[in-house]
Amino acid sequence: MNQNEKTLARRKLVLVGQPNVGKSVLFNALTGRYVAVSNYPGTTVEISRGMTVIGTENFEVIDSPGIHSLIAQSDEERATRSFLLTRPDRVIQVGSAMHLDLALMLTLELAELEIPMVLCLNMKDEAANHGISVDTAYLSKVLGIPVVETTATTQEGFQDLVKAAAHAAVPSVARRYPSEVQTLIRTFSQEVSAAQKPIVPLLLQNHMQAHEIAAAGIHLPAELWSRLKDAQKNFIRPLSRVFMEARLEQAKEITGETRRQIKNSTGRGQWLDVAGQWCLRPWPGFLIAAVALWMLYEFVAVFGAQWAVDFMQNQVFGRWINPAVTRAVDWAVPWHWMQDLLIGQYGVFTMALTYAFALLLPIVSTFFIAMSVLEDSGYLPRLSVFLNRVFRLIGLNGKAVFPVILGFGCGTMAMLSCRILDTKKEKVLTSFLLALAIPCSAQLAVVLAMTAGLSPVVLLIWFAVLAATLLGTGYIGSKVLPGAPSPFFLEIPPMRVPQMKNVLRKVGTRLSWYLKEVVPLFVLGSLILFVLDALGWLQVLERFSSPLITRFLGLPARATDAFLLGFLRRDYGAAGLYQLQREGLMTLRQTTVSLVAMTLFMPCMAQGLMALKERGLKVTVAIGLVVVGYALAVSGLLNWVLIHGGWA
Amino acid sequence: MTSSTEIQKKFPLPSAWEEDLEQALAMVWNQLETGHSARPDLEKVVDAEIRAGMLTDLQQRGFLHYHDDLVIFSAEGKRLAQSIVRRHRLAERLLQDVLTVAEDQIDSNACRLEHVISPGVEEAICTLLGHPEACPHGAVIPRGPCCERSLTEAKPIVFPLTGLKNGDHGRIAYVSPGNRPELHKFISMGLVPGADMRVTQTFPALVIEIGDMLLAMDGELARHIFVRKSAPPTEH
Repeated sequence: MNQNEKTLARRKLVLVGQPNVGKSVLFNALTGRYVAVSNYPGTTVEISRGMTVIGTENFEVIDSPGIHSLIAQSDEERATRSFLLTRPDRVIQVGSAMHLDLALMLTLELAELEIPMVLCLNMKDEAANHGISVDTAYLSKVLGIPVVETTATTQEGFQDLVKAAAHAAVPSVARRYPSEVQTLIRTFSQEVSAAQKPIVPLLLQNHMQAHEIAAAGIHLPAELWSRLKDAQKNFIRPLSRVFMEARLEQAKEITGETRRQIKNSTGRGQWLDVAGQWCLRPWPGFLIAAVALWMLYEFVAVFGAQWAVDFMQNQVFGRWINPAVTRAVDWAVPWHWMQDLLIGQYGVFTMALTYAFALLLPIVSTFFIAMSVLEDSGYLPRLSVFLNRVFRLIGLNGKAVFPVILGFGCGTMAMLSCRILDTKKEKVLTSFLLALAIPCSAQLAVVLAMTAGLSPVVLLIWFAVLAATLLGTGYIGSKVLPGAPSPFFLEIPPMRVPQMKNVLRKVGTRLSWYLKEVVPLFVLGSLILFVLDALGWLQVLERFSSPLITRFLGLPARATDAFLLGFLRRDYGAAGLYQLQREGLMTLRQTTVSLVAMTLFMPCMAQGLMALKERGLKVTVAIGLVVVGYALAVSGLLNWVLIHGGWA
Repeated sequence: MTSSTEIQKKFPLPSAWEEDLEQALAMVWNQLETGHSARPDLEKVVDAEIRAGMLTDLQQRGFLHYHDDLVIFSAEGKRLAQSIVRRHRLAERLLQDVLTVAEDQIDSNACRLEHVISPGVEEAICTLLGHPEACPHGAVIPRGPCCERSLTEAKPIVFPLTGLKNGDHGRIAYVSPGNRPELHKFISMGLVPGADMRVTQTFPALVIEIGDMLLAMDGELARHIFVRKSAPPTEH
């Protein structure tokens, strides 16, 4: 009985579909878990898992990165295909009712895998706004699988989908390939085991490496591979193209039979289309970009970094929490060293928690809110069209806007989303730029906070150094790294009004994830400093590194602490520098140099680990060395220039 | 109905000699184009490929001149050679771009096609392809009269997507070259020959509307998508 339950629980249901059709929204609804949902293709780059009950059975639900077809190009598409090759028990294909023909093209391809499936046509509301309706009953008969229409954002049709999933069926729709291709499929199908039959069409299209197939537990004799190659040579055109064109033709035919354009657009949501077009054009696109940037600055830098931080530090912590905690510690903790550990200079409370909650939390929160609104609106893909030309200068294309913008939020997430880039060169280059020149929201926060009361020249110098770094190192990197730039090609989703619910949920998830990562590391950092200080090693370290810190960079000796912390998390180091400045220990020159140094310096540990996972040891070490060397050299140079410029 | 012998009489296929002549002239053109004009070298290549004494034959019939030890075309020779080279390279483009024939089959087919393409068809192919400047291997396609005309007079029927202006409607004719890695994505997004589309903007990147979908791309890709301009569909 117990055994039986286990096998049942291991049954897998996978959500598959084109990018940006709403797989993740459905995943969240099905499992009650949360994975990030945005309005741009390529939000999901990893396979996520959750549990759900369909009928009376438990299913493990898998959210997969979007694919256009099983002919995969990028890493995340390959991940989805590899997963499908392991033969999950059910497939829910999510498609857009707006682009029925493209959805059906994928349906026909998935049908060949002979896995029980359901077709879910999402975005019913948007299709309706465009006057599009689909005869789902007839479509279901043609395909031989349940077809359900949903509007994921309002969860309309969601119950129907769960019900339909219980009746998932292997599609009965017949293939419509040219007869020579059909013969070929039949011939090879007879030579492989029954379990391998469904992948014969995929093999003939010749887009999988032997190791990928082996990884899915499918073993084919070497002789079969060479015979496949021979068979492909008998066709004058590439077989993959023959397959795809046949599927498209069939998909268009079925679409013609089942899709109705009842009337012209209802006009609802049309202003969004207009706004979307505006964002894409130079005029008023530049204006919109400028206004968006200004609003971002006002919200994050002014409201978050100044007003909210001030409130948290002076009011919440300064007036309420700190005095209470100090009293409590004085009263409850008899040992002096322990009091120090909690509320001393490097105290867990005074340093770690104050930095995390009073300093960084307000800024990170405002940034995450702004980011979520941007991600949901559909503005980011438009921005990537806009910035394509700039990114071309540094050997990337507009697609790199996604990881870079995410990088301003959190470098770790950004590192992961490099998966949406097409070539290895672009991935390495973007990872490098993320590590070197893109400050994450926490760093940005401290930069803005530190420059708040100072002459705008400081912020200007910081910005100029970063911009020059980004363009300069990007340009050199694009010349040094082998490989050609890949062309820019992107589907632009419609603009949508961001949904408060999704925005709040996403911000909540990101914040809790942020705090979970930050608080333990901050506590660890303050403990390390506390121990080093207690043992007297901190002074030794400060003396030891003083040629570098105090001479070369011209910073106060205590900045060493900040750099030590910076190795744990760079925002922690940044916060340390901020503290120094607030205590009045830094001149204008020192502030400027430290801003540049901490922005350019090493990425935090989490980002480093993610780089290790995504890029491998060699690339990560290379990036690390270049970043440290460059950061030191440029900061030192800046110090020298400023001293000679007459800055104190 | 006309019998096949009648057709042969009316429109004779090139004789073996004519084919050899054209082949040899094309070979000389290729050699001269790549900077090889020494007579012994050319003799080696041409005589080995066609038959012994072929180069001298060309010279005696006035297609070539020997200048010391260098070979140059006569006016007549140059005209013929240019024409055959042009037909060969156009045929290559047609096979690769429009018919998407596998790479290893292109040369052999082009070699046969070049001899039977009439001037009228040559012009039609050139126009269809949008007066291409280079063959798939990158060698220059000699310009024909239709190319010169296209510069001053009528626009070509089919031209790269980059040639469309903001608001223009078009129908995709073909995508070239047929083996681009992006091609599968194109097909799975419905960007296939016969698809109707509209250009909604050309700067900073090209944006086209196809069905209800907006696709952005830069010139690099758009150059490889060839379209036929069409009138905007009537409102219903």
